[in-house]
Amino acid sequence: MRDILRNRMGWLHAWVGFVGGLVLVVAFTGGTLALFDTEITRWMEPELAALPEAAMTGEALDHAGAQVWALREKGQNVFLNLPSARDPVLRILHYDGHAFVGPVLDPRDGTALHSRETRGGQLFFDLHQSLYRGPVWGNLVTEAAGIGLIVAVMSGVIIHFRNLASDLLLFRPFAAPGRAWLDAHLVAGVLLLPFIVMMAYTGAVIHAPRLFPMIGAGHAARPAGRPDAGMRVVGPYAPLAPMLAQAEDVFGRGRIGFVMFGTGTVSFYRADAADFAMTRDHADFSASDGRLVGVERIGHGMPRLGGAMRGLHFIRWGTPALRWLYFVCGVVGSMMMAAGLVLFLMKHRRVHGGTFRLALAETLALAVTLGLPLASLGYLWGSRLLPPELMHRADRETGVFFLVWLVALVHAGMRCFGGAVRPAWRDQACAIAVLGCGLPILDAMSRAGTALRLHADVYLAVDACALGFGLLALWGQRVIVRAR
Amino acid sequence: MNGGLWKRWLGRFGGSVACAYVCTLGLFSLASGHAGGLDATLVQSLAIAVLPLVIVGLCALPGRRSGPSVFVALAVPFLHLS
Amino acid sequence: MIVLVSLVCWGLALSGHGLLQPKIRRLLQIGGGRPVVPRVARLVLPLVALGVCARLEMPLSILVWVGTFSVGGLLAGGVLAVEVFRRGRPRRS
Repeated sequence: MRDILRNRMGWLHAWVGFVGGLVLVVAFTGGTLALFDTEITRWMEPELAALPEAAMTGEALDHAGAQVWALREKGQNVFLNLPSARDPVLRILHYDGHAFVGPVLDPRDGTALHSRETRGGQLFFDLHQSLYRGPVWGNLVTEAAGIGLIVAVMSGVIIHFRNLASDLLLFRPFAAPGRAWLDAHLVAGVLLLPFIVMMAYTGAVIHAPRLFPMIGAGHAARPAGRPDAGMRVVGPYAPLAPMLAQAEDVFGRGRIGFVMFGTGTVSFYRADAADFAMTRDHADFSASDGRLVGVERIGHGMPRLGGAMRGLHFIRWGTPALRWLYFVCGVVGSMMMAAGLVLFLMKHRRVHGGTFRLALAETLALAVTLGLPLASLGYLWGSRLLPPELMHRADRETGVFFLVWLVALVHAGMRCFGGAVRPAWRDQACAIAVLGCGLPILDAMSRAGTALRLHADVYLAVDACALGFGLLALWGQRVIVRAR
Repeated sequence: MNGGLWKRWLGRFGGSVACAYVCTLGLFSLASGHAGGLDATLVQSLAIAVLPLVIVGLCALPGRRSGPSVFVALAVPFLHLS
Repeated sequence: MIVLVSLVCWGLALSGHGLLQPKIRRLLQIGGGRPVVPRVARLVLPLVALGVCARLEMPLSILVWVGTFSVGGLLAGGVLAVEVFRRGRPRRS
């Protein structure tokens, strides 16, 4: 091999792509699922399926406010999330170090609804942004992987530059395996180039303070503890409903997302879905008499840049159609990266077949490519199979996710180190097929008696996606069997 | 693959990353000093855009002697300027 | 509806682009010549898609336009792959 540009870029693409790709497949898959985190959370709370659709009343808001104040007087750092089109209930939330969790309230009267404790889709959000490893090291690793993704994309474009346009749609799934995987990687990579670059760049900018702590005022990540634990506020408190009406006069009707409670003040924050730029504009009121004491808006121009980056990345303002477009691009992007991992392994199997290093690489690649979807499905199964009243239920549910993933890793290791790589892929594809295809049945059985209806809602969407991935895995394992 | 070539490219990559990071920091310390303090998000977004460009650019440089020492030598003036 | 129209426009435009590529033409056993329809399609339809997406507010319109390019391209690539298989020439290259 000669030391020429194409080979140097090939080396860079292969190694940065593989090492970074092991993280990126997790981050990309997690991020793709996190696009529908609210919907997944609702799927994991089947008790709420029976709740009739209803607008929030002033009485409910005031009742919820009283509950929040009571909790804050006990030193709990909680806030109130208002109903939205995606999540039509009131929630009293606190950050547990990984997700915002807390009791669910009826939007009609503010009474507590019986619902199981869960982290829901926010597990995938945490996995996406920090690999569930916290806001320091986890963020740093995903940040480095994001930069690695941009490097891999740039080097890949340089390698493939001459055929970028002519091979844009050249996909030969029935050619030799190496060629078919390469075609899939190239077609998906080039077609998704704008999406992948945009997501990698905006994601890296959002967590840039981790990489460049000396530039700017630090990272916005939330600490896991109770920062206001020493704070004590004593009533009486003004009702929240008149404050909401005033806040809506400022930001627009239906554009308030959540309410934060400070020492002597109540702040109504504009919803993330209200605008493209995700700024934390808010109206502050006196907690004792409900008087408007100030409005903070992020101005136009440079101060909105960070909000625009977040808006592009999280698309909480987006329509369902745009969210589905992101979802499809995210799924295909994850598959493209997985195809890259497979190509790397195929190339090195010829020379390093049977070595420890290659077996380790095969194990890790399989654990992130199929082990993660398997663990995600296991998480959904665990959500319905664990008893609703279980102590520390959210932790147990998360434990199911990591346990299934660990089992997938151990299985991959045993098979790959035993020289049975293809059966390892087939086994895990079969497991995905079983869990994916079985999820709609589980949903129908475990949601029976609440509100089992066949119409377009979050339950049908999650079931259909799981079934789709299950069928895809079934087809994939048949391809693996035939290719023997 | 030739083991020597692999090691050389790995060294070059490591040097490129270190140099790109230092260069980016130096460049923006310099820019913020001259421009009287740029917006932090703008600086960070530019840094994130520049960093991979510099890494790929340095890895693409031809020649056997473009080792890590050369990159460090390139980065030193930036640190001095900042 | 706008997303669907944009998706169809991009799918057809990129199919036209694919049909103009020598490698794909060989796989599809299409002879020489300079077909006009695919050329016009790949030039005009993306602009039609842009015009349709422009009815949405910014930056939603740009994101939908670019997103439907990606998904439309994947669909077009899939259709061309199926067509290659259907014509009975699965190449082992």
